[in-house]
Amino acid sequence: MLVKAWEFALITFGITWVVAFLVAGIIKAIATVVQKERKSATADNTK
Amino acid sequence: MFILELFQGIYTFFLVEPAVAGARLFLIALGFLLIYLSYKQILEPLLMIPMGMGMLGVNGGLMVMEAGNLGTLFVNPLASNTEQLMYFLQVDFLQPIYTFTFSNGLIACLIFMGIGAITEIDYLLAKPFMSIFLAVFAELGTILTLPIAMAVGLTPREAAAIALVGGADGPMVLFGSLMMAKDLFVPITVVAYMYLSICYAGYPFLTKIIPKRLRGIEMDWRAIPRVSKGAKFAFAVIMAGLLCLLFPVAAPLFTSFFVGLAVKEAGVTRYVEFLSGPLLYGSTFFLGLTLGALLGVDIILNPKVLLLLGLGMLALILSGIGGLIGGLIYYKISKDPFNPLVGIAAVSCVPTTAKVAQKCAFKANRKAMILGFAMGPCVAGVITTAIITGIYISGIGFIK
Repeated sequence: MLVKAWEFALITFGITWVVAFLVAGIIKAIATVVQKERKSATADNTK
Repeated sequence: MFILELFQGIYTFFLVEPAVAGARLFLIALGFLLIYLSYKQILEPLLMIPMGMGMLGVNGGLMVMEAGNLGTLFVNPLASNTEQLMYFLQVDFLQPIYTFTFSNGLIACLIFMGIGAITEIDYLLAKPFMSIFLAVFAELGTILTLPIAMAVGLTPREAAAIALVGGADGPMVLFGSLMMAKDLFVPITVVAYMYLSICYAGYPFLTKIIPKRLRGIEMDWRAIPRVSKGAKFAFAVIMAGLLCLLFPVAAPLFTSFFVGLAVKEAGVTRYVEFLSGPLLYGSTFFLGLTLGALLGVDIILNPKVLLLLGLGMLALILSGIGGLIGGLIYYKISKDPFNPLVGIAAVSCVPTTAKVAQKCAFKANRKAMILGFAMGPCVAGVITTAIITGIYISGIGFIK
């Protein structure tokens, strides 16, 4: 059972890495989209 | 003896075994100590004063009830069938709070709504990869304490519940222990909150494992990019949806946190005022008072409590060390100057650990301003702890 506990802990650590970096990727994507929208809005205003 | 029977709180000392009477006296003394330390600002007074008062009240207020049984007029967590429950709801003054907000985890969710409404995510959104990187390292205690706790005799569910203390997030520990180890949720939550409130004093000692020249590294806070309100609002909504999809068992917590964040970023000020004021502080007050009232003699006489005290401490120390290791690794790989103390902030005791990082950096170098950078990992730690809570609750049944 103890071996299974270590396995479970390691799997949890791995999944946490994957999901956490997925979250970071989404944050980056949101920031990029919002930035692009803002830039195009600024460009429209200057026309 | 007749005169003594009038003062039942004292009389009941003579009706129980000496060990139980001693434990009662110990808990009363502990209640006084918590109140004193909170008054002196050594412990967090917001939670610890109500908790200490609850302990004093419940352990002092033991009396002879109907049919000669001993009991109090506070709360009965063991009431199970409907008839019993209806009786205690009418008799015990904290029973409605316990029955309707504790046993279903509502109180943790209410606190999370309030926390969401006061959380600043600018720094997390400005530096997402750095924040997340450090936050995962700072979960070392949450990960390692699970097998260690099982090795010393706890069941998988109890081990997972106490391991969550390493995430340094009170409501998450409360929610996780209610879901996984209901019998031990009182000592686990009390251990968690007691340790969290001494983080501010304890973690600075841990940071000394980093050499002074690294602790004093200056970081340019002007380099942190500004984040728009739209991005923050989109983050709250998308994250809530994604994390609920991935971990439905922790969906109430995710929804609570992100709804607080969403109303804040949407600028709904009336909701923000309600969530961050009356709701957050009202819930925290009743959480402390009810937890204190649940700390009766039966809890302290449970032999597992001593084990939980040790494991809770171990989880927090390991998480702190993990955060600092993450900080050192990031210091090595970062192109810009990076203070490894930011790593300790990733132990998500918002905002205490970020303040600890700033305090220690300032002590090493009066020009080092790292609080802005530290807030990102601090908030990211809430997310990683929530992810691990979700995995533990859904997956712990696989360990057989």
